[in-house]
Amino acid sequence: MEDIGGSSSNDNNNNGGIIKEQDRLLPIANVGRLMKRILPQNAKISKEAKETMQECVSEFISFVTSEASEKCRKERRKTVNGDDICWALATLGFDNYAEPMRRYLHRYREVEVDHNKVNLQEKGNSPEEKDDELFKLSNRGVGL
Amino acid sequence: MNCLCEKDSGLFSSHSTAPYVLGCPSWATSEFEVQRSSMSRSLSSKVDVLPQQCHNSKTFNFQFQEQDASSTKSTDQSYPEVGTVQSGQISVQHSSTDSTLIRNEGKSMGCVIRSFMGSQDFPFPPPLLDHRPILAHIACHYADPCYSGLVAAAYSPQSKPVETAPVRIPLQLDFAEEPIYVNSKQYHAILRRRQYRAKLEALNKPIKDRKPYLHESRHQHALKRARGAGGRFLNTKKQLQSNHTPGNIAESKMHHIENYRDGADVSYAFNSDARNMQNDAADKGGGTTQQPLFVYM
Repeated sequence: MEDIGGSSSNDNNNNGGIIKEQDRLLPIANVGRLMKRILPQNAKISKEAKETMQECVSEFISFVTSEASEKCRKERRKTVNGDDICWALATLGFDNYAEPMRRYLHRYREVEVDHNKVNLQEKGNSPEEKDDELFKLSNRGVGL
Repeated sequence: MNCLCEKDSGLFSSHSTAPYVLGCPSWATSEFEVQRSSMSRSLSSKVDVLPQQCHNSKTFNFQFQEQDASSTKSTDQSYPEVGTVQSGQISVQHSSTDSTLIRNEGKSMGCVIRSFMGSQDFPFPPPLLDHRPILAHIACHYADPCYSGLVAAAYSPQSKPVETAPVRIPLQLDFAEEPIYVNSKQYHAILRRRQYRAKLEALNKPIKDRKPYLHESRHQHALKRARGAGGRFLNTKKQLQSNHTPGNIAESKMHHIENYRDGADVSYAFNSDARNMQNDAADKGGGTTQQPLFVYM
């Protein structure tokens, strides 16, 4: 996904302590697109619904990430990896999500290894292929 | 209580009178029975163990003494007083016959008194023929006060399967009177997130409202951009085609003005702004390729 608010441009006044809205929440267009994917062709989604879902999914991500971060803090580690997220999902009672997420993570790592090999062979970066791979992964994730 | 004591003494007196009437081998058998009954009472063993002891008593005395030693060890592990009583009985075997019987009666009376004091609800003893139910009752009552630790130990594995089931814990809210029940696994995480959100609100109180767009320049660019039927942006080829037909251009401009003036379509404008930003990002990143534009349209 594109990092819309991540790049610090001259228009933004970056205050260290204040967390901006675009850093706290997911981009609303991406949330709307994900919601639209599961609905029929002619369905419409109101702005209020998108904003509500934006709040919900952002809070869920922070909820799971804080649990994983707490585990890393106890183990004196600084990097939160995918295994910590899967562990956090299982610990919080989201067992139905933890198992598909673990399988997704396993396949993602396989694809990354293959992709690095291809890059070493070709010695040239091709962003379109990377986007295609990620798109396939996201489709596969939805299938799981 | 007095009636129970008298009846118990009657039982033991009848046991003691029998060996005097009969010869030496019957005396030995009755002595073994008395010891076995006292052992079973003191040990609070189950009724199933008695046939094994009967079978052992039929064999040599050496094995019988070995059985006593093993039972003494087991009693020492479980209950120290019972061990001392058992050792007293073992030492009594070596003394004379008359004092042996008298001391056996005294020991067994002490055991009965202990069991009676241990359990207040001692049932009325059945007749002489039914000897094992008495032992069973005594064993059941004797086990309760002695092995309370085992009961407590048994309680902890029972609590584990309860924890596996999803248990709802009441979560006290400051601003609400009634508690909200949540998953016990998520209790601490919810409290942690709540504290973090409170801290965030304290910091970001002035900047709470939502902005319709992030960058003014991109917003202006989106407003200037050509739109087709339905208000969607025209891609490069369609824009070139529309240049040749001025009627379509005028129609797209009218749609643009209508969308801009109507308040109800603000959400659609916001979405179009977001798509415009994504298109700009895609253009900057991957160059002007037709496929990403097609995907994001």
